[in-house]
Amino acid sequence: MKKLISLVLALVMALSLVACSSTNNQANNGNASNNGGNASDDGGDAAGQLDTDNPIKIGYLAWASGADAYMGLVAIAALEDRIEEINANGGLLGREVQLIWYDISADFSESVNATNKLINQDQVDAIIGPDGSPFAITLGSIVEEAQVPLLPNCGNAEVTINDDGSTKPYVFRVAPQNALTSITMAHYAYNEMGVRTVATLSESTNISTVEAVDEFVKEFEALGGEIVAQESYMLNDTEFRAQITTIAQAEPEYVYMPAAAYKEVCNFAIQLSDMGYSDSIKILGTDGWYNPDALAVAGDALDGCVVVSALDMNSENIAPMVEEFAEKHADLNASLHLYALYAVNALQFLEYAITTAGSTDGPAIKQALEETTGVEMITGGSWYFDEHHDPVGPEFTILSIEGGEAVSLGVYSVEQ
Amino acid sequence: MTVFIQQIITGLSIGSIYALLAVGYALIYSIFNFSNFAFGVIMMVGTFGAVYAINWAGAPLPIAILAGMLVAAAISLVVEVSTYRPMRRKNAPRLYLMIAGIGINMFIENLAIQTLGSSVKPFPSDWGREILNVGGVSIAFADLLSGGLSLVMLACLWLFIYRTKTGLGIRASSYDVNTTGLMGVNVDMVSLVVFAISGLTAGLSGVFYGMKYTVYPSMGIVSNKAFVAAVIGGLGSLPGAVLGGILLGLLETMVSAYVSSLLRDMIAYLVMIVILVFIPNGIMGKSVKEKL
Repeated sequence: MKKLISLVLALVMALSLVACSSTNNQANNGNASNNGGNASDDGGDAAGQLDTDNPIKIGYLAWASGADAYMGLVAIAALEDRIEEINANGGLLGREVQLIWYDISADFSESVNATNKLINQDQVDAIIGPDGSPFAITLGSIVEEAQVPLLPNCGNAEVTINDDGSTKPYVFRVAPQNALTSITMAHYAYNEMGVRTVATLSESTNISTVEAVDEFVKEFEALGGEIVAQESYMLNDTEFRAQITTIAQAEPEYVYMPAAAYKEVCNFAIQLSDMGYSDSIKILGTDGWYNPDALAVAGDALDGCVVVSALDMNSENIAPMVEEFAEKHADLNASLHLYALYAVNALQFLEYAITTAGSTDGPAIKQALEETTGVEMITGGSWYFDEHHDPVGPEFTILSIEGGEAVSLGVYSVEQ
Repeated sequence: MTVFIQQIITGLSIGSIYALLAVGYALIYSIFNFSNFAFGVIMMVGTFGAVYAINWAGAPLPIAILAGMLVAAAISLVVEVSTYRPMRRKNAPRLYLMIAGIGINMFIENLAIQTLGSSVKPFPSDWGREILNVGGVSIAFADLLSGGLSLVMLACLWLFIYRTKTGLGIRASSYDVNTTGLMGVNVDMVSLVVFAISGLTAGLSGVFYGMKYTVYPSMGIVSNKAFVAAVIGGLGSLPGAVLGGILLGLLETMVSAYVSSLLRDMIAYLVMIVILVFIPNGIMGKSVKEKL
């Protein structure tokens, strides 16, 4: 009997937890619509009669808690800013736009739960994110069944492609593919920098960085370069001196480190410099950790590193956005970063598709996204999707880090 | 050979952080028979205390370290007085105290993310990153200082517990809290002292951790490893905690260096399981008790 009572109590507690979390998210919704309401009041003239009873709901899957919470928190703020602007200018199709987001950082299964919630409970019209490949790969069939377009900003090939090679019909990637990033880096390093020996360092717990390293190794060796050491680490590791000592023995000119977040890169670079190797070994990096905050944390330890990125944070389009964001969101204590900008690009694609289709029907949005020949991005350039729903248009910029600043070395593309 | 010595030094330096944190776990366990799983955030808050002492008040490093330790001790006391003590008064099972600790850990970590921001900060002093080069082996000043201060801290703890009257009270409480209370020892006072000391060690190790690596709200995650170290060493034993910490640091580094960094945690934890299977009380553990 006692067991039964405790079981019932446990169930009641579990249910009340669920209830609590859903009220939380209701509160999120409330906030979002309040924002929208304010925005429409402010811009009352421009807005005309903004339909607030029948909002267009955009979901966002955010990595917004834990050690790398800045990834999602910054993106949420950037998306909310953009939506505020849209609503102030009359919304989309005369309807108010709302952002509904869930934190998915607890574990990979959380992105499935959140996607189901967004589709069934919140009945969103489209979903942006997630920004991590391990979270995104499983979502293709869910959004296909519900016919809700998903625009993830992450790089693994399997995010948009099924095992049998077919394209996931409702998934549209808004960040460059890992393979392209890695191939570009391999070519630039071999052909332009004259690098011949490279060691690699991947986060073994992230399919995205593992893939990026594999692609780099394949391409760099095909070009004639030599991979002298391959090391790995796990998410949230802080200690890299064992790997550094092993890597240093192999005497590479560069270490290719396509990390998904910046704190590990900072620790690696700082320890590399502390152990006296920073003059002989430099890092080749990717957009996953190209973040103004990383440069601030690692200081001159990152000097001489070379990064490949699909967006140049110093470009005339983006630099003012970074500044404006820093002023407006000083409380976040984190800079506007690339993955937040990819999320904003996703929102721009949705604005375009919903306006063009004149509808928020999933199939109509999908068709508009597939048929577009180019959407002007606020980050610069005109992007569209190829037959695999990968973005065409992002151009890779090569950046060199000098004196704690990323300096653009220009746009670089591989002649295929 | 130089490479091997370098790896040993690296292992010792990681181990010294684990050791200092493990002492904090062991201390509380030895008195109250439960593990304070809020330890990670106590360390984190202390580190932020030191960072803000430098950034806001312009404090020199030694004062900042002291400030970090005091902040951590204060938060440790708050946790004890607000949560653990009322729960003990109501005779809550030890397991529930630990669950409360895990809750506090999650609560404060997420509170810190919301209030302090989620970004990673550098510790505002480069002193710890100065390098001493001995025959091709590089040793960071922070490692020397953390190793040295850990020993000093341990010595002070030993003197305090074995040579003072309050220490006698602590030792008596570790046998039986209720009886010690009946003997006229102010058990509440003893618990405050113990939590304050454990907070001081958390703050100290946090500052060194931040100095060596970086400072961010989730940095307390490293305390999980320290807990493992404390268990390997024998929960409740202070020398055991130090031994466990150093062993774990060396083991991790050696596996990363000579086997594979991919297999690091797998092998390190396999060794832990083997140790516990053969010596269930840990290397220097006292007696068979619930080790949670």
